[in-house]
Amino acid sequence: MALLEVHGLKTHFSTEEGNVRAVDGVSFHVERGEVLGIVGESGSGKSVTSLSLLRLIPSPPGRIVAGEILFESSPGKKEDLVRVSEARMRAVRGDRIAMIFQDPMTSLNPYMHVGEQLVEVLELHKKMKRPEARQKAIEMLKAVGIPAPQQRIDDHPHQLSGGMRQRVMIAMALLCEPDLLIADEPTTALDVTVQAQILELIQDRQKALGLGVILITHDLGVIAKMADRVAVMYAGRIVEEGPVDVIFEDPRHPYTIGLKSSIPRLDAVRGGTLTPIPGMPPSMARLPPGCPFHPRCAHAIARCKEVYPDEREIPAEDGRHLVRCHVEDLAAGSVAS
Amino acid sequence: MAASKPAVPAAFTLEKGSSLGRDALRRLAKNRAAVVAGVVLSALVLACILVPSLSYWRYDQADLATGPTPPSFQHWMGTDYFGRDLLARVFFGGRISFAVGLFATLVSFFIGITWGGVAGYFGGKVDAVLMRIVDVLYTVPFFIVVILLMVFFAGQEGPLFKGFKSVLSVFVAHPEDPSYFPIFQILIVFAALGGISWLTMARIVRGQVISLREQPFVEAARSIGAGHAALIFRHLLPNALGPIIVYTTLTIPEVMMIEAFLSFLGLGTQEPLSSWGLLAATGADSMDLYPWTLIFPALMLAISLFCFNFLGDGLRDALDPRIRKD
Repeated sequence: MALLEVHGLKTHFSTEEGNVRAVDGVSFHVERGEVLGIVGESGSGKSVTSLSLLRLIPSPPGRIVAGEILFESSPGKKEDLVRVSEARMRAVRGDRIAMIFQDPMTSLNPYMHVGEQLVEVLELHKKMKRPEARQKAIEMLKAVGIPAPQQRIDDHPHQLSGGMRQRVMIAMALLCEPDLLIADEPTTALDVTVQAQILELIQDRQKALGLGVILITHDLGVIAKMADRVAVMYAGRIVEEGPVDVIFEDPRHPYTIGLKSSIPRLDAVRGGTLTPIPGMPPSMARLPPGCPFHPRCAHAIARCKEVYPDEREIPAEDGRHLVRCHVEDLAAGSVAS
Repeated sequence: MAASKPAVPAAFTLEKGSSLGRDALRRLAKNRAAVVAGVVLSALVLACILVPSLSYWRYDQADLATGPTPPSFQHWMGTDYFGRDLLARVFFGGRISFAVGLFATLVSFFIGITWGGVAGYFGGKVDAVLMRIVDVLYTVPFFIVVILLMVFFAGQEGPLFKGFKSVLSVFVAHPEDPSYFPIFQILIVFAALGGISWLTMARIVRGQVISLREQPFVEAARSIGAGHAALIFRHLLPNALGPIIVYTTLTIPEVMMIEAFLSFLGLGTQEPLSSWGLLAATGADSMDLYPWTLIFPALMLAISLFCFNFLGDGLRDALDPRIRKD
């Protein structure tokens, strides 16, 4: 049984421009001990998906309008997080499902010591007394590779570097030994050298604790390094999903193919040009009819403009490879570039 | 800055973390204006507590034979029209002025912050209802209300004073003693000032909380399962502390000024009690003949207002941990 199953999740925002369908029917699942990567451009609904899982969507204007989020909070017991009470949700947040945010500079309370923020988590969920919680917090800071944690625990966030702060965020997320970790662009705001360290830390902790991880990023390099499976999002839906090797070696959706060919490569011919995807992501308030990618797609056929494609399974050796595209004979090689 | 660095390179010494309070005190100590203001204020408060009890002269001991005299060895600040020692009256008046300021500020601190914090945090309908109440209270003409309150409800025969006497009878043997009436009137002033002092605070805090609410650390705090109360009181309000502190230290002198004005109009503190406003008012009537009766209370008022402002400024800077240490 999967740790997390999401079925037909729809999160809409009512704005002045109209009803924005930021997430419009997303289904995926995460197993224990597995890293699911979610990739997509800005505005494709990655972050809204992750916030929906914890019901952190600001409401109003946002609302989960449909779907279910089945979470196995204890072995054999499934809960639909869309329907549980707010109090139950608070108990899940930070305890069973933890989250790491994009910007460690602003994600820690500037007025509280690092230690107080860590202790708060333990007080909330484990009903620990302060000295005990503090001890645990120091251990956890050590586990995430912060030198001299006894001293650092009494620092304010501004006294730490960006990488250290992200380590603190990770420590905070792991304190209660959650089952699922949602990392929303955990390395975007960091230096490249620190990025690698943070990713290794997440990977290391994930292996050690057998965590299920949802890794959200727009960096395909991060996905290649970390993920077991990948879901590619475009305009609020998952357009392609499959094991990481399959997605990288045999992508079938023109969007995924386009993403892949727009990555700069070290071994590419000097002077060669990158192939970007033409056009811009559509406004979520005014999505084109049919497949929302068709105006930017070189392979679009008449049907793409009218009908949203159904999920289609592609035979793959390990795991399911799903794609939503009308054009069936599309393979990586067939895209001339 | 370079001179104050320790001889050992920083890399070899582990910096010890420190608490917000201790840090703040250290930074405050570096702000000379704030330190001086703090010392002067403490001295003033202490004097107001001690002087009326230690002084040879009582604040309400009239000596019509002496009448008004300029400052002298016997009466350091001189005497007023009734020959009462001005020094004793000024420091006794300080008690009431400070008490009014403190009380109204406490009200503004607790009610205003909670009100504004809740309104800003929940937003939407809650915000609309809470802030409309504030708006309505704002439109009530304060001085008219106080005048009406004093004239119609706070008279010797009014129901409020009867209620006050019945409460008083629990504590004292003779509640009908007329000397309790001025105290009762001061309480009315307290209540009126408390009632308006929190409105602006609520608005300020609401604005702060609304801008802070969208910060990522608030979302992060929600993601660890923090509830509404924890979010408002642990995460949002401490971050709004700067403006809150500044406004608080501005509220104290402001309320003292309003009290002075009310007393000036004859609506606040009543003879034979005194407050700085009342003393200044009576002093102003006879400033041509006995200028010292105006100068001393006005000076006290001015000094304490200055000090509160400097101290507020210093506290705001000191309480922000993001400001670099040196």
